[in-house]
Amino acid sequence: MISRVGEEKSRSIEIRGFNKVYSNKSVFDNISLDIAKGEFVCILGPNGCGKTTLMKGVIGLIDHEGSIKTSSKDINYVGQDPKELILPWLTVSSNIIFPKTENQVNKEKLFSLLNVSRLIDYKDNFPKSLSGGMMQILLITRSLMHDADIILLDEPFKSLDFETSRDMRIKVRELWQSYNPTIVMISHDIEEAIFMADRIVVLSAKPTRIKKVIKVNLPKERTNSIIISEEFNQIKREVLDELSAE
Amino acid sequence: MSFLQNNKISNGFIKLSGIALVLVLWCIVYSLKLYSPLLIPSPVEVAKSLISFISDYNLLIHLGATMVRIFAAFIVSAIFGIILGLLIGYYAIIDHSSELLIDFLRSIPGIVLFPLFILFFGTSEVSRALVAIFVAIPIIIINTKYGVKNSNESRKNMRKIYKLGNLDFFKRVLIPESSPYIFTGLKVALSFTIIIIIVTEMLLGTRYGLGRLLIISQYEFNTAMLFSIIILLGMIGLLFNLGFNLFERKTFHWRELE
Repeated sequence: MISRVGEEKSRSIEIRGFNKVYSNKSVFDNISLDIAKGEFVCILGPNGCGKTTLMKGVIGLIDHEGSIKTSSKDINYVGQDPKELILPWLTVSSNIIFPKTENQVNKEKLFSLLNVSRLIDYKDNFPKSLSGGMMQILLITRSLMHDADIILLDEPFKSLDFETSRDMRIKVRELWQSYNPTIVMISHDIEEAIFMADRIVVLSAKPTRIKKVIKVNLPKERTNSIIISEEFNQIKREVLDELSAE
Repeated sequence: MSFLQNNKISNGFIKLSGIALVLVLWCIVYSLKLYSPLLIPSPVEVAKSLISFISDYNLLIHLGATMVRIFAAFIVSAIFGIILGLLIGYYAIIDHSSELLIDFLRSIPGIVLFPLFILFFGTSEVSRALVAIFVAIPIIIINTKYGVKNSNESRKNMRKIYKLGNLDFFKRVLIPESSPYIFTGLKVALSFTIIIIIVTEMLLGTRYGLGRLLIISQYEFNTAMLFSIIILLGMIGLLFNLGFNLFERKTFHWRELE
């Protein structure tokens, strides 16, 4: 199943016949998917269905079958364990601007992002003084700092508390609307996926295939109250139906 | 335990108590004349001899010559050892092709190469330095290699994720990431460099150096000088170690995140 969005020229990610073989077993049933430039897509699926593997394929970290084309080489990745991509020997602000250096970045933008992400008070500290959630925020802020054309978020709010996670959803959406990168996010939280995305890609269990692509017809400007709206709950029921129908 | 933790002064005294005990035993042995004063000199004489290293220009030259040799050999070993260790650790093909060779070379006691180097380079400083470098380099290579190999996989992936050039990646990610291992290698390599330089000075080919002075003191039965050189070498090693530990604490404070 190929999910086509937009015209050929506006495609940001084009996945064709994607598969990864581990110990002679195929993880995927030749997945094909198109993601348009500036689109926000959430991937939902059961544990172990290969969501992270798919992301690693997009970023070029693993060998795989099929092809993945991206419109830009400027791809940023935020993994599940923030410690892994944070450089503990750099300060918080140096981590945000990494891989650029202080002279190569727009200081006003850095300051504004530090404020938005509430990391301003920690900018000169080393990451060891941050909580797991704040480290995750740091990595998301790094992606936004560099105007990455494509941002891959692998369960970015997993280690955040409820309130911070709710704030971060809004912040990431605000920043997405301001800078308009293509965002692909893996989530296990249906409400989070609906709140964040333009489209939700529901994956099956192994061998993984795309069960359904659900369009999220909600307003661009989203507040926390949207989760009690009728439209929101209708989409939630649709996603739940897809996830439970195996 | 809490006594040790809470009272820094007492802690300092306890740390020095071992040295104090040896000094007391030495005084007793000397006072009771258990050994000839030619073999065990008085601690006061040794202390005077030690102080003369600061005041006596001739002795300072010996100390200076040894230190210059140690630093020169160590710096060359560090530069080549770190570069080779990084490459061997990162590129599997270089690792596989060099592993056996490095294991073989480090199994050779370095000092046995001194006669060979003398044949090639004469009794010059080059021969002495090469023996020390031969011993120190594999230590640094192996520690650096394991530093790279034990680096976090995701951080190694940062080269691809952030499209970093090789030089940028090594400089900004891989070297800092491996630096605690590299540092341990440097620490051990420096100890071996000191040993080898002193031994080669003792053998032949130089007029100046603490090793040479040790041999002269032995010929002249100047045991006070002999003891003072041994103590001085211990103090140099201790100072290097303290310096390294201080630097390690200040520089690698971020390791708590690991």
